[in-house]
Amino acid sequence: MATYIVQRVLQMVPVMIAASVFSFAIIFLLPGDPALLMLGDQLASNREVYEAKRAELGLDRPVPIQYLDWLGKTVRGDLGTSTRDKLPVTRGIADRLPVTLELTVLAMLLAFVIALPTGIISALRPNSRWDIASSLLAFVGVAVPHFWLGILLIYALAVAARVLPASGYVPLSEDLGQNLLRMLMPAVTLGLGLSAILMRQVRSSLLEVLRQDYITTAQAKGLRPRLVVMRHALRNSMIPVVTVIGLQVGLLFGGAIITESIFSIPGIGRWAVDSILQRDFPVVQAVSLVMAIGVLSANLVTDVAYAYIDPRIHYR
Amino acid sequence: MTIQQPTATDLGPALSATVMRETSRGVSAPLRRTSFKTVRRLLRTRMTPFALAILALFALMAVFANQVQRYDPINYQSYASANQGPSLEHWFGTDYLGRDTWSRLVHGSRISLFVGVISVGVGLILGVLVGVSAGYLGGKVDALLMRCTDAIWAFPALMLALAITSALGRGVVNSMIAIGIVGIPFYARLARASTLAAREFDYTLAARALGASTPRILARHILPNISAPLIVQASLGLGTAIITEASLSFLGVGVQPPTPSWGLELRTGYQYLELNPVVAIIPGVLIFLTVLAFNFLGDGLRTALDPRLARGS
Amino acid sequence: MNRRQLLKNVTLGGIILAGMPLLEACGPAAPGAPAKPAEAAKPATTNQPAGQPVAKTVAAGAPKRGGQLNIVVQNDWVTFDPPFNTAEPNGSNMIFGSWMNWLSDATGSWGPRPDMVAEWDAKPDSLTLKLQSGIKFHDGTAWDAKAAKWNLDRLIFHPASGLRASMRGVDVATEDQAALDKLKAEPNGPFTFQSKAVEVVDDRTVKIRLSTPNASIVSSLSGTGAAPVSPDAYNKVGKDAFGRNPVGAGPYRFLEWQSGSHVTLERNPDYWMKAADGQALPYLDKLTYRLIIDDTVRLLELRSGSAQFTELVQGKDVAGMKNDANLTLVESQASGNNYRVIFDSTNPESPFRNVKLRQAMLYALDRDAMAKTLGFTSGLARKYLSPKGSLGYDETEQVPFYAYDKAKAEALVKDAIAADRTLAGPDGKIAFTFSVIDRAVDKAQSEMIKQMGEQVGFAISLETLERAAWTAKLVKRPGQPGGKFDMASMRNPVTADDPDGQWRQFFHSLGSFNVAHVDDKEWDRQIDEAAATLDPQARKPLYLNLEKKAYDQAWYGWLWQQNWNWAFNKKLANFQEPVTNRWSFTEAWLM
Repeated sequence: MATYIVQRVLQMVPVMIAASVFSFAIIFLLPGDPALLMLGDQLASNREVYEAKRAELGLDRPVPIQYLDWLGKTVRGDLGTSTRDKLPVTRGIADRLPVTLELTVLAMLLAFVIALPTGIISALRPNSRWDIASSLLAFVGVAVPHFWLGILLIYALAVAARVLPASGYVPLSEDLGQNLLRMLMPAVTLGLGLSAILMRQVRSSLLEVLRQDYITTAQAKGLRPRLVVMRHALRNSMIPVVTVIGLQVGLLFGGAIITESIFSIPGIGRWAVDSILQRDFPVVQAVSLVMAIGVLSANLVTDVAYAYIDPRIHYR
Repeated sequence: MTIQQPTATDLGPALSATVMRETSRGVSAPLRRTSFKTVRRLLRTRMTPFALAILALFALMAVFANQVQRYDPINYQSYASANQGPSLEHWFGTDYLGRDTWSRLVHGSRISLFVGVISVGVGLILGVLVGVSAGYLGGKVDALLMRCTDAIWAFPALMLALAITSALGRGVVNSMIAIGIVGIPFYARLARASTLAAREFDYTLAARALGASTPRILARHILPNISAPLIVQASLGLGTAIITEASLSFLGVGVQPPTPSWGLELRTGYQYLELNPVVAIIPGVLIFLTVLAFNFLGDGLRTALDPRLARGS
Repeated sequence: MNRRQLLKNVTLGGIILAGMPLLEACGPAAPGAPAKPAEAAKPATTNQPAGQPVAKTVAAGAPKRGGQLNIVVQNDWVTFDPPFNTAEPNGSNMIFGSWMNWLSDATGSWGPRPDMVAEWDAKPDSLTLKLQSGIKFHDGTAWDAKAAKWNLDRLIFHPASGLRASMRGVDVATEDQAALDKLKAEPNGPFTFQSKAVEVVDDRTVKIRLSTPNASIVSSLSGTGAAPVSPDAYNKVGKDAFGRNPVGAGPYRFLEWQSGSHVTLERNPDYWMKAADGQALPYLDKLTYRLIIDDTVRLLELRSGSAQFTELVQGKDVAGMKNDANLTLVESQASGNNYRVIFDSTNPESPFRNVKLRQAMLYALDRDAMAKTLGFTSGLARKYLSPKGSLGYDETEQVPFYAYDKAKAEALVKDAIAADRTLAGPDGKIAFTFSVIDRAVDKAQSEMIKQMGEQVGFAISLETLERAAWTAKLVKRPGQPGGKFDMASMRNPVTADDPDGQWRQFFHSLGSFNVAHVDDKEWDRQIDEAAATLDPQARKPLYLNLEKKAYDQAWYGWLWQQNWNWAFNKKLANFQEPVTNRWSFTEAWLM
């Protein structure tokens, strides 16, 4: 087991390096001049100031050196300064990441709350009308473009019916009620697709487990019926479900991008989009790296957890 | 949200190898011979005929767009009749420049479907190249290719696509490249896992022992065996690609005006939500139906191509 | 960002509807605050002489104290330090106050009013400012001649100051070059440069020496970009930190700025200005400015009541707003967001090196249709650079302008192709790229323009760019690629203020947004001449002449404007129609 973990971690290292290279390289792909953007038009027209800035940013050195320099700084926690608001990027991340995390967690919670009961009932009554209906709904849930869902929700609940505020974000520390109220539609938008996938997964893994010999044996032995058996079955069937969640982290981050844009939530997804579009290079580099690390870590945890539970699975 | 139904391969390369080994043992010949049975099985799967019907409808709409449209989707602008709701004249109403929404959506199907097919094609071809090479050659090549693929996969798809289109420039072509690149990891991993399994089959080993050249082995033994899961994945991937294209257009970096596309119309609908909500609803419905159809199709294909059933019938 | 600078320079001006009688009154004959002959109203504030601001909304009942006003804004903040701010100054005027304020009076004429400067005297060779007494900055330091001089020196001499162009004419000949070089080398530290051009006359008076007359210096000082800041606070923390922790003398104190999210201001209990009845101002406890970029969402916030104020409601939403019983809309034709096109006549590969083709394109555009389709009821087609009410505007409309004439456009295109076959492609059409900023209205406009242009013989491909990329493409920089395009569109706030700002920005060879790459000594000379002529009667023909020249050259095309508007909840009482984005809540309250 320990070897497996070590192996996986070691595996992750080159991937992280590759990811860091991509994150860094992005600024060379995106057209636009970082020095120019940081100085602003007026100062940049002064040749000396411009050259000095380029030297300060290290843009006149060979690319691999720049990369190593950036990497060194990053590892030490210096992620640079945003060209737009002149604040350290770390501060920007510290402000925005919790918001996105809250959105993602709420979406996952919501997905779970929907998927668990639906999936269980479907598994207990396979091929019944309920099962067919919920399977259909699951398909639908996956197919709905989530930003369309967001727009529809805004129109229905905020424009037409006026029951919910359309947008904005109130920090948790400030007002829990307002915060949740405003996160409701975004969480639903983000979580619905996930709930569809989860529902299918709950159903199929529960069905799988229920077919196992030990369940039939337990039932034959006269163990209190479904409820008790359910507990065992449920516990074992949750593993693939949890791993699926872990693997969806990357997709949730991606979904958060548009959701945050539509609902004006100051999270890291929207920050990433704005930074890409406005060529805020330090932010783009840092946020890409953070997201990549987040996804990779989630995968690592998922894989290890899975391997822990199911000793059959060990990487060759 | 680029959500895919989790396949076995998503649950870890080792697991997938096991599954592949299990399910592929029965298939020792190219799919050609059982294709008729496959099609029959496909059609018998519950929702597949419905899916095929929808896709056929949209495909026809795309191909015959010029005949089905009622006004020129780009050049017919009538400022006096802008932002109208549905009427006999304009079935889905008009947009902010007085253009006929129905015509724009009909032409939009061309772009959306075209982008979907090409980007999946790009991702599939490149992904297969990478995955088969990694799986077949193994060793350092495998390690290098897979690390890079994993690194691409670590970035949220939409963000990566956004960065690539920003780098290459906005527009349809670059969107297709971006979406294609973003999809590579899915197909690469799948191809690799299947290749790993197929590499160990008896007849493959035999062919190698007999001195068959690598291209021949790849063509006759490896590729046919990996095609089944790839086809399923591609079908699901088409739905994802269409949503990603719509997302990029929604953010403004995909299809550029005045070319119509479903994603772009959705963006317009969002901006004019109060004046003309129809434009916000209909494109979403179309995207939704298309993705739904592709998902049903993928599901049906998965059932149809499952060799366990092949043994049975 | 050059457009932002433009906005700053423009808002420095303010509005003059009736022309320059006020500045005239400020001339050699009458020191002290101007008094318009028609006014007889009692001073509404104890510190202001005749001619007070008039509220545009009816104040119901007595002012109520307290409460928080939630404002939603469209643009993100860059810094709160006025001369370095290249973005919208939302909230800035409430933190800082101003040297002079621009307000309208009962007759509807706009002009400078005393604010932190009680009296001023504008002469051809100097500007003397007599400061209001009893004002303290938020950190307790005094507003006196020393602080005023420090601020002026910074505006005029700091290398990154956005006001350098408008503070033209200041006599810089006698300055200490070594000190200036030191300043250039270390621009971000404490500001210690002491100029010779700005003199401290006594404890409450400063005098700026001018080497050339500057007719717009008062309007420049009245803008948000010139607002006075606390020298102590700035010198303590330096340029960047001060921009995030501004200290001014305005009615509200800076509380916090959450990047990309919101800014909060709290009431300044020691604010110097008093209400008509002697009550302390301001009435509101807190102001929050929240950033919501999307127009639709901003309006939804207003509707749902979670915000009470916003500006620049899009034309398409104005109609819907009028139906809402809780909201009210104030609109002004005197200021607007002006949409215009620009041609690169210096690009040897562009068809627009040919003036006839530029003219053809301008004849091909139906400005009324654009105003109506894109601006709805708030759209107004434009003929000239200067808007109605400006000194430089020709009310008689004798100066030629471009109007929609499809036949003429087609003829011009045909003639051009006949004269030079290489202009047209194999399809017989003249092809070019139209570069557009990624904004909803700009993109919709570009689709209209494309269609109109293609009807007269052009083949247009639309290119959408982000602001940064668009600026990089258009602006020429030493040693940088860029500065080559065919046609581009932009939008720019214009008010009926001092015309110099607009002409200088776009047509002067040193103009800060001269994207048409105009480099003509004669143009420069005429622009400078108009700026240095103090007599409005003599100034006006000079500007009309510039309009004619602009028409002849057709480097820019004036399209239409979206009238500026402000939408707010009816609960907000006593809100005065401001100059574009300098909304003042000094005397407003929530009912």
